[in-house]
Amino acid sequence: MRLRALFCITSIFLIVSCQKKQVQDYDLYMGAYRILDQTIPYPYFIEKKNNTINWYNHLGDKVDSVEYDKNFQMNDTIHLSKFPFKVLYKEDQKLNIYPINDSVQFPSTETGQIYWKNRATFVKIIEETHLNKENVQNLIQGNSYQSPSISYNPNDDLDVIKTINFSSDSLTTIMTYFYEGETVWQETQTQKYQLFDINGHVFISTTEDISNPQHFLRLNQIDKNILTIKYYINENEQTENYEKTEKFNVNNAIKYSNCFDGHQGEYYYQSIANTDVTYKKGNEYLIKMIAANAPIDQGDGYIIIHFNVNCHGKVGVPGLQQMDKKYKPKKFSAPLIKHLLAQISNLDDWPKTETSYDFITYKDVHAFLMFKIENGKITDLCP
Amino acid sequence: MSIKHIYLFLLISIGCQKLENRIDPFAKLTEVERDSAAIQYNEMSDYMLQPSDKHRILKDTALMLAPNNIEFRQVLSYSYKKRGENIRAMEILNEAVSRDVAKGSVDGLQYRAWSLLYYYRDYEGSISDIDQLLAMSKQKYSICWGEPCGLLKGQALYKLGKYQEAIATFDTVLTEEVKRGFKAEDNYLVHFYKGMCYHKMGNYDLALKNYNLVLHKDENFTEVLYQNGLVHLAMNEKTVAKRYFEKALYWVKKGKKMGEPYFERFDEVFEWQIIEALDKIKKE
Repeated sequence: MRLRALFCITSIFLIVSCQKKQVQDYDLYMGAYRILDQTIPYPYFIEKKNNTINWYNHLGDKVDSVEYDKNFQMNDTIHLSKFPFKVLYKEDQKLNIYPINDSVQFPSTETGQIYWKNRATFVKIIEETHLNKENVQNLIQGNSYQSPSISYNPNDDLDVIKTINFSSDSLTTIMTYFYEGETVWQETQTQKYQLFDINGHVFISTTEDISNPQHFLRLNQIDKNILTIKYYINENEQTENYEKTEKFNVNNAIKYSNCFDGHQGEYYYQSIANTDVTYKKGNEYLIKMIAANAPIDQGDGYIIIHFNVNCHGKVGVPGLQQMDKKYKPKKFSAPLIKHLLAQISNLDDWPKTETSYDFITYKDVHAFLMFKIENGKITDLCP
Repeated sequence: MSIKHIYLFLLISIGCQKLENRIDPFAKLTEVERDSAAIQYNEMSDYMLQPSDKHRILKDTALMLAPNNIEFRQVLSYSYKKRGENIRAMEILNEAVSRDVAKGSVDGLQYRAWSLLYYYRDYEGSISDIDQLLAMSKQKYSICWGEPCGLLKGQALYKLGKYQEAIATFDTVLTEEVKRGFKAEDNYLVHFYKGMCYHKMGNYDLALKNYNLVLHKDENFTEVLYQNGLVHLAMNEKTVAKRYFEKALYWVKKGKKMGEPYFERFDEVFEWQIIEALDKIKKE
């Protein structure tokens, strides 16, 4: 009887102690962004494999490792030799960390305190895929795919189609914007890309230079004719379901790329030119120029054209919102919208756009022109 | 890490989830606790860049806790307005003003009048708000977001081409300011836009008289130098006009002009306009 009791107690003790030491076998966290309110892509991976933490760089290379036999807990410091970090907060599917040695991307206060918005957010990859980069490379190389997409600027009224083409090492993207079925803007950019796989997940990195970090693109599904890509904008996962297409033509597209994709300033921020980023010649000039040949429409309201001005003074990434005099959604005619977008795409007299602030990282600016329409005519321009 | 920081992270993690995805996670809080949490969320939102998603989400959370807080609601509208997301901006602002007016306050109307004039060039809307707030406060003079409401109304009337009404409104501003101990000549914008009204009406003497009141305070006021040039050109006094334009050109190149960080003031002058005026003299 005593022996049986002793056996039971010992067994319970062993089970409990084993449970305490039990760790997750495998977790892969993908860097989503850094700095809570600027949400700059942070293209790194943290892999927890048995009792080891691995850190991967933007090209998918394992660059640091350390033994760690627990699950991540708040306030733990992970003593990687090159990329040590502190776990600030952990949720089921997210990990917030503070990279201890990176005072450039995560500045602290003068007294060394952490600014609590200066952290990196990693997202746990939950879905299982069993892909490898060689197979994926063979499938995508030389092919084009097309998917509905979004404008990265405020946009209610333009439909967006993203078309991508893979060469052996370059990814060319065409963003086509439609209004009421008509193409009203098309822009293209080409980036070097690198494919890599980690534990059955295949990723595309388009970060050529880490000073202009890009979101990782995660290939979720692929066969001869379809391709599903997931990535993060802010903390929102975007899914793009591509279908193979034979139509890929960059001839009519404007070449546009942001100088720094991570975050755009706003037009009213003070740039390095010691001014805000509004058109140098002012609103009256724009009204005269743009209204001159504008198609006449009907009704009253506002047309707001959003766009970025990059560090070379080029305009791209349009968005469209329209409202009536009571500030409720409204739509104006396609010829007028097309005219406005065409005119805006040619504007080239902008002040310098780069940041003048230590605490906000950007090189390009989001701006907008809000046209006031009365009786179908452009009568004013804001702001 | 201090308890305060841990608490902040927890608050952020609740606040950083979009509201539509959750039921009220604060349902069990007492009223005092809700107010306190609302203040903390509001402070956290103000710590974030105003146009950011995080600012909006945290402000939404503060408003979920304190839906009657007008200031939270009004500030939330700035985030959308500054990014040109004006359907949402006006939806939020109109709700804030409606709740504010229901409490008998004119603060929301004062801000909206200013906003409608400068950000939306909605002259009728701005005038309507100013008339309402003056009627509610039973005053002839009030301040709308740092500027006399009458100055805003006068500009709105001027833009609508109602010059006589605009001049009368500007004069009321000056009279009321003198009663309050200010010097009439100090309000340069009133004199500038009064001058613009007379100018548009073709009353060049009174236009110049008003412009010169501004130049008396600042002899290098670029917009007034330019407008003075235009009046003299209209009076066929080309030599004088040229002198004003050249001076205006000098100062505009130095970057001295009416500059606002968020919007363009009415009749702000740009280099190309002055060059065009000088070219016109040269050609004639």
